[in-house]
Amino acid sequence: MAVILVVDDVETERIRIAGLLRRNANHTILTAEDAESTLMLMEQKPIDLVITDLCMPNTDGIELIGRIREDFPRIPVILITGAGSEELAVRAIQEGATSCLSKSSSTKEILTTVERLLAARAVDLAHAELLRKMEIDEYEFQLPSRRVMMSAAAGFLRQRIQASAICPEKELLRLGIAVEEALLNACLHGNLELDSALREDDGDHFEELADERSDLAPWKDRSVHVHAWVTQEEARVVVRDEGRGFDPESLPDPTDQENLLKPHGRGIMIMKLFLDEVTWNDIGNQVTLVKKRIAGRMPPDPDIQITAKNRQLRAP
Amino acid sequence: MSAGNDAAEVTVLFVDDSETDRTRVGGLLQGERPNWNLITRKSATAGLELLRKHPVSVVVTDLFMPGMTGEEFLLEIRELFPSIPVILVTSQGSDQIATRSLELGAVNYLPKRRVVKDLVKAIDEVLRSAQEAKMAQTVLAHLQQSRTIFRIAMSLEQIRSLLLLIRERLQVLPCLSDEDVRHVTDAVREALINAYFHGNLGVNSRPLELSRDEYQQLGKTRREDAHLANRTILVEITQNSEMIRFCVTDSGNGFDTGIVSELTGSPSAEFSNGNGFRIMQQHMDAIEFNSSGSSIALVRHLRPAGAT
Repeated sequence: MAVILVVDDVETERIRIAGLLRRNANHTILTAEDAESTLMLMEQKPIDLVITDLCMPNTDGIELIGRIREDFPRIPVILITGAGSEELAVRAIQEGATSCLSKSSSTKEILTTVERLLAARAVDLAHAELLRKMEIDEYEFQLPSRRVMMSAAAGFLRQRIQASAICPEKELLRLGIAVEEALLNACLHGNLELDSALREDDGDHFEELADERSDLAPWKDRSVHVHAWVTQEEARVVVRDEGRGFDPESLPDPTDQENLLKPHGRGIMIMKLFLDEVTWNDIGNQVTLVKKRIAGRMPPDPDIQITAKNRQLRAP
Repeated sequence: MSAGNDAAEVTVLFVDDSETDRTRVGGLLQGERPNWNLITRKSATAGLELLRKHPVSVVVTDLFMPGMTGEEFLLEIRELFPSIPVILVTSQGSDQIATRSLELGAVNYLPKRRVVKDLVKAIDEVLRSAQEAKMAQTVLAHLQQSRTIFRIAMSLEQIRSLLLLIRERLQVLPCLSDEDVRHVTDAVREALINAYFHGNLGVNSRPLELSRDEYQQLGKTRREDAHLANRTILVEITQNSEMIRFCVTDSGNGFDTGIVSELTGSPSAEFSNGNGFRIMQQHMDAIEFNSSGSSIALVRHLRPAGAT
C-alpha cells in the first residue's frame, strides 16, 4: 500500500481524483491545495507519488514539479493538464514530471498510470536498498597517458561514486573535478613531465607538448595507475604515475589570494577543497583522495535525508 | 581506435515527409553545425533502409507521416538499433503523445514551432550523453581488475535489483553481445534463486524431490521462520581482462554437490527440476563449488577487449 498526495487548488477536482483513487485502489490518499502545503506535507510524511494540477495560485504546477525534483528527486510526479497544453506537458516532463494526464483522462487511464509509477517507485526503492547492501565496489586501472583518458576515467569513477550515494548530488560534480585534477596531474606533470609554469606563459604550447609526448618514447610508455574503491564509509581514489614525483610543499600556498588565479598548483587546491583527505607518498608520485560518507547521509534513501533538512521555502 | 579522434564524426538522420521542413531543418543544422553530416529521408521506411547501411549518431523524425508513422519508426529503431537516440518532432501533437513518445524511448520531443530555437541544443545534449557512455567503455578497456561485494537480505526484490545492476554493468562491456548479457544474467539469476530457496530456506536441498512450483510455495512458508529469514546471500563479482566471475554464497548447510552429475543435458520443460543448474552450465564457461556446496562460482571468459 502506498501514500499518494493529490494537489489541486480546486476542491471539487481534489475530491474527484482522491475519491477515484480511494474507490479503486488500496492506497492512503492525502490532499493539499497549494505548493507550500505540498512541500510541507512532503517533509513530514513519506509520500510515494504526487498528482498535481497545472495551474494553482502563487506557483504553477511546473514550478512545483521543479521544486519537488530538487528536494525529493526520487518521488514520481504526475501532472494533470487541461486540453491542448501539449507544450506545457513537454516542459513538465523536461522539468522532471514522471508522467502527464489530461483532465479528461478516463478512470482506467489514471489508475493504470498510478500503478505503473508506483511499481517503478518500488523498483527504485529496492535499488536504493540494494546499494546499502554493497560492501565494496573496487576498481584497478592502468591507463595510457592521454588527457582524454583521464577525463573519461574521472567520469567513470564519478558515476560509481554517484551510485553509492556517498555525497549529495550537488557535490558530485566537484568531486569529479577533483578526481580529474589528480589524474591530470599524474598524466601531465608526472608521466609527461610538463612543467606547469609553461601554462603561465603560453597555454597552447603546453597543450601541444602534451599531445606530442603522449605519442613519444619514453613518455608514451608510462601509465597512470588508478586504484579506487567505495565502501559504506568512504570513497577512496589512489592515483600513481611513473614519473619522478614532486614535493607537495614546493607548491605556491594555495590559500594565498595572490596565487588563486594562477594555473600553477590550482589542481591541488581544488583537490584539497573538495575532499576530506589528500595525501602523497614519500616521493610524491602517488596521491590518495578520500571522501567520507557524510554522517547520517543515506544509506541512499533520499527521502529520509531530506526530511531532516531545514529547507527554506522560496517566496512565490 | 583512438579515443581522441572519434568525437568529430557526427551524422544526423532527419526524416520528414514535408519537403519544406526537410529544407528548413537541413538549412538550420548546416548553418549552426556545419561539421555535422546531415542525411534527410522522406519516409520512415527509407530511414530504416539507411540505418541498415550507414552509421548514424542521432535520428530526428517527424511523428505524423504517411505509411509508417514516427511512432512505429521509433519502435523499430529501439528494437533494431537500440543504441541510436531518437528525437521526435511534430506540428500537431498532444500532451498524451508527447508523454507516450518519451515513455517509448524517444530521448526528446519538440513541437515544430520550437525546432529553430531548440533542436541544435537537443542534439548537442544527446551527443554529449552518448559520448559519456562511449568514454566509460574506453576506460573499461584498461581495467586490470574489479571487485564488487554485496551481502543481500532474504528478499526476492533485492535479488531482482541486483540482477538489474548486473545487467547494466555487463551491457557496457564491449566484448559481450546483447544475447551474451542475457545469458550471463540468466545464469546468475539461477544461482541466486538456488541460494535463496535451496541454500538459505533449505527447501528441497536435495534438488530432485520437488518441482519449482512446489518448492517456491514451501519457501513462502519457511520464510516466516525468523531464523531463516535473517540469513543473507553473499555475492562477489570479480572481473579482469580475461573473465568475469560471480561467486554466490548462502548461509545454509550446503548440499551434496555430487548430485549435479545427474543434471545433464540442456534445460527443457521435460525436466521438472534441475533446469536452473542446466542453465548455468549452458551459459557459463566454468562452474565451481566449495566443499560444502554452500558457495557456487560462475565464470564467463571475456574476449580481450579491443581485439577486432
